[in-house]
Amino acid sequence: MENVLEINSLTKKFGKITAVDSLDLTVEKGSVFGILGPNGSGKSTTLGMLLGVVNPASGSFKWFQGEQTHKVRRRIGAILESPCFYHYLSAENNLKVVAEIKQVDTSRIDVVLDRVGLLSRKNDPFKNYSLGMKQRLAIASALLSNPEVMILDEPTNGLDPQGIADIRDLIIDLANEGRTIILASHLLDEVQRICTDFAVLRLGKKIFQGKVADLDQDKTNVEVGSDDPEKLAAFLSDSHFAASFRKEGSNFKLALKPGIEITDFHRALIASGIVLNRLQINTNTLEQKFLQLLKSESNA
Amino acid sequence: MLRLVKLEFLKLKTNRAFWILLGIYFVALLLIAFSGGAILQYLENQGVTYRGLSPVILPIYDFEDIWQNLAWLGYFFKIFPALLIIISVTNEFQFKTHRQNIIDGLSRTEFFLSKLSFAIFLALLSALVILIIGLILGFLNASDTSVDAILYNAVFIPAHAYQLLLYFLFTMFLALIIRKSAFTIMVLLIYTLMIEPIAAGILGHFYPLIGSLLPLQAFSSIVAFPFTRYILLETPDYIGLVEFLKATGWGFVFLFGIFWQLKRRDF
Repeated sequence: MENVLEINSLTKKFGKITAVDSLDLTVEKGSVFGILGPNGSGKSTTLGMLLGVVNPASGSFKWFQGEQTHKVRRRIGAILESPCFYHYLSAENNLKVVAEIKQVDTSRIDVVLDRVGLLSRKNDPFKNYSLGMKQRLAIASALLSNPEVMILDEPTNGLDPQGIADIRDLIIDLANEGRTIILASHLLDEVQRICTDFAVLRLGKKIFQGKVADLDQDKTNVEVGSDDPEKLAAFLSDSHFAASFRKEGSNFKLALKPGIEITDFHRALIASGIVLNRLQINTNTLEQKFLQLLKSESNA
Repeated sequence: MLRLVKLEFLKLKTNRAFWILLGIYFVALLLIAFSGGAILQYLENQGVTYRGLSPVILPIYDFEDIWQNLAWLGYFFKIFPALLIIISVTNEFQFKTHRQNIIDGLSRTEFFLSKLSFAIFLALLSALVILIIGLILGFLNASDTSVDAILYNAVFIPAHAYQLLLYFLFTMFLALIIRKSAFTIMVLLIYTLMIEPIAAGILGHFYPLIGSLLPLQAFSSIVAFPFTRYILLETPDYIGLVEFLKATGWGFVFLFGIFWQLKRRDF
């Protein structure tokens, strides 16, 4: 598979703080790549370096496996943090500036404005736009050069539910068109829903990289509750089913040992005369994986 | 390079403050230049004479004199076009569009060149306006309108553009460091109108050489104050090599400062 992006031990220091610490990452063509991490983990700094606005302290990165100049950025559509435009210029004039930078024909402007539903408002100054419209203009601007790669940094920040849904649909559409998407987010269910690959950053270091599809194959987590919690607790600690368990409210959360099916577990409960008032199977969500990764890292 | 000039034009073409300030600068220049005769007339009416001569006979619009007079006047109003430079630079920081420009695919060097080309364009525009005003006033008033007379000292027109450009580089350097428009304007005004004149006065009193080495003193020395010649004081009507070199030296310092700021800092 062809790599769109290769990062080699990229490092950035702000004074004594190392914001990004010898990061290695590869992004395959056509993937939807989620970069996860708590606030301050170096996500935005990394994207800033990839887009030329932050100077790396050391290390390197390579876009499209070719020669690296500022011109490669014209093939990338990026939306970082809040939309940045000239407040006094109209949407159309703002996109003319971008078209001039990206060396794109101005006939594309109406096309992209139409796609995000702003064509009828193209002569309004940017400052009169609502936050949702500003975000849509940023998307239009990113689409102007019909880019092979889209980079989005917290694209749903500050949007209302409708805006969030619109952005999510748009990302899926863009991915279906065969574009590679790199998405930084701390909204884990968002990443789980739309990404094919993900990496987790913590304190500037990559602590995990994998495929979202592989997540479900991990061990099963179960949540159970009974009218007789003492008996249930005794069963859980004596039996060989649970790899670990803990009480949470009136219920118990446990991880089944590898190879044990939920039906075996349930049969054994019935045989012991335990009646459940609650049984919930949690597949291993990205959130659990994420928290587990962060926990194991901070213990290490 | 033309593409970078166009880029700057696209950014500013509907900026109201830009057009208003540009208008103020040229109208002020035009008004003062055209009222020179009226001012002399007024002085005569007030009974002002110098060594028995009437002020109206002073040849302020003669081609031999007019270019230096206008060039000096244009530089006197330099704050107005300098504000345009400040707007052009600090807008980018205010709207964070300097980052967006880079993200969209402009190189930092191109960003630098587009700002520099805007400063050059503005300086040339001002020189062009001075040329037009000078030609009109000269043909209306001058006693000698031969080509020799017109070209005599016409070097002050490019000198004016150069002088303005140097002041713009200084302004741009300040704007890049400070990044906030109001604060940059304040610092520029206070430095131009107070700090340097006072520093030059004090330094110049004790160490005349050092006083004249201050950047704005060096810039303004390119075109000497012309009007003292009308009270028969010795006034240079040429561009001195030493003055030119001093100013150019500062120009390089600020140019390098601007480039360094844009290259090294994180956006």
